[in-house]
Amino acid sequence: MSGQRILFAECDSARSLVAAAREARRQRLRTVDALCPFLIEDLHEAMGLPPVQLRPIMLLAGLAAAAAMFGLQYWYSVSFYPLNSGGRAQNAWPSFMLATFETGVLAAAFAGFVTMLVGCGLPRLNHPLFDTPEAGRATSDGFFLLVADEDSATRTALSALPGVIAVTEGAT
Amino acid sequence: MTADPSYLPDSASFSQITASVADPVLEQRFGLVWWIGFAVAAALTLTMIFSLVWLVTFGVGIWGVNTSNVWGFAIANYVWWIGIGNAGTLISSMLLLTRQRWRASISRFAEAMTLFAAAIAGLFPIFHLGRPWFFYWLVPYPDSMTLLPQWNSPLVWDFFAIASYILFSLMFWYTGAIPDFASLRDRAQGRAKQRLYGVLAFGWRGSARHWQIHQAYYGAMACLGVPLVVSVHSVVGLDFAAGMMPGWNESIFPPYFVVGAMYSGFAMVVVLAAAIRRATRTEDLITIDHFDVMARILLMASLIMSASYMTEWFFGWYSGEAAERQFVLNEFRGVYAPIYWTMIACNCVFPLFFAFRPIRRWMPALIVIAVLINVGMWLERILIINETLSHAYVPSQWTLFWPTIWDWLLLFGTLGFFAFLFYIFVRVIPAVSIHEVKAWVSEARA
Repeated sequence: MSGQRILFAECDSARSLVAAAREARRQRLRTVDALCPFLIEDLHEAMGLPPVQLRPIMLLAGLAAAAAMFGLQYWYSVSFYPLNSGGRAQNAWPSFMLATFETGVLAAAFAGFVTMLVGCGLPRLNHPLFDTPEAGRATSDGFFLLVADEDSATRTALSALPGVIAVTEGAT
Repeated sequence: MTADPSYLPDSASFSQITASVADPVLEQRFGLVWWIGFAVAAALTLTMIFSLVWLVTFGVGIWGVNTSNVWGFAIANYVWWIGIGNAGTLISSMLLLTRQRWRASISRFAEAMTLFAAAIAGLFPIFHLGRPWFFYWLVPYPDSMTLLPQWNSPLVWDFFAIASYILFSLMFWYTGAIPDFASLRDRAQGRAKQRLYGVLAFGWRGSARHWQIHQAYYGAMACLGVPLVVSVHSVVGLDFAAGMMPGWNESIFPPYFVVGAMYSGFAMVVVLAAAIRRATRTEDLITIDHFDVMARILLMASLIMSASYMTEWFFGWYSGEAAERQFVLNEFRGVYAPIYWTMIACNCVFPLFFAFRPIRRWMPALIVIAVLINVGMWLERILIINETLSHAYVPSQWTLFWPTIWDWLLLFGTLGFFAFLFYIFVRVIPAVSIHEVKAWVSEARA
């Protein structure tokens, strides 16, 4: 990725960024990334990004932790340290459910947080993109489509995309 | 008929929205008002610390709990604070899932309110213990006596509920704030601020892939947040309801507590929104329409609370049990009756004014009624504990609870600590969710 020449196509709105991304994909331009200051619903579909595998991981982690917590309570109350309090059931599963649920939710949240950071490649405080002026505007009001500068036709094609107001060069 | 409120700034550009939220933080435009408030809050925080040190040194007896009412102020404060905390998560999760536009402007500080309130709430179950240094016995760790906590106890469920709630809220809040830290990083002028927000932002670049993953996580957290809040405050309700004391052993307690939590929390959000809006001059982001819709939620919650109280009275009588019937009569005729009537006025009567649109959109009324709701809800927590523990099954145990100076100092100390944390929050963290407001503005203008 380092030293690669990238073209930044600046768009004037979220909608035009999505349209430009879609058109760039149709013209088989090699889209490297898109930068925007907020979530744009259709953008990843327009860019053809692969689906995110985060939620199944959260579900698995949550279920595993919940099962472990329930198992701990069950094992402890039934087998390891049973207490006879008025002949009540040792496997008091209704009371066990609360700690089970809370632990499951926490584990799902934590697993998701870690997966999100790993999937985004964060924390990464030093990225070649930060050397470009466009990066600073991307978190405020800039919408950019980043395309690999492969040949001379790319720049022309990029400028011709709908909604693109400027094309600048950079290297990342 | 007025048009549907958009809850969004009319004509601000994206960079103007960034500026209006980021600049109060980056340019540190806070003057004498902030310093005076901060000084008072800091003094109260020191009072809180001093009270806690005195408590650990001299024992729980410094409170008024040398009676049958062993829970006194501590557990009432705990329930009140965690109730306030729950509204932040409800705002974040529930309003995100139902795609309510007015969430964007208030979610950041509402979630911060959750974190601070939950952290303060967590202090009380620890310090109300006779030997608070043994609180870690609630954690199921393999100890030398092979003892694990009593799984059937609601207080143990409390530990799991509060611990997971605080950590969940922290991750949820932080995830929402990452893109805004990046905005501040890119806007900051000084190197120290750039570094601070750069570290906090984890290197966020605004990449489409980042946003895709972020949305997957954030949406999933919102789905988890609503049942978590309901379960956490239901557990708090079960602290009372899972026992057999008169006035407590009611199955309405879990939902009644959850609604009460939403109620007091939203009231606190109204007060905080008014303060932050004024302090950071973001009137175009936190609009009067936001207060209008929050007032309507308060009205609805007030009606549900009234229905809950009436259910309690009815079932107290319907149960046919002498102790329960005595309990209900005692609420209206006993020693605590004036407090009970005050609570009814604050929770059930004054919020009815929100049925009138002009009152919902008039700041002084909003703030006064919201504060009265918070006071009323605190009184309700006090009464739940006091009424039952002072007048339970055994007449020889009927004693009254009188708070001592240490009870009051700790209560006001925690209020000051909450304010202290918020004074710092407002100077360091962007108080409005910049990226969300922009997303809604973009969608509205498209």
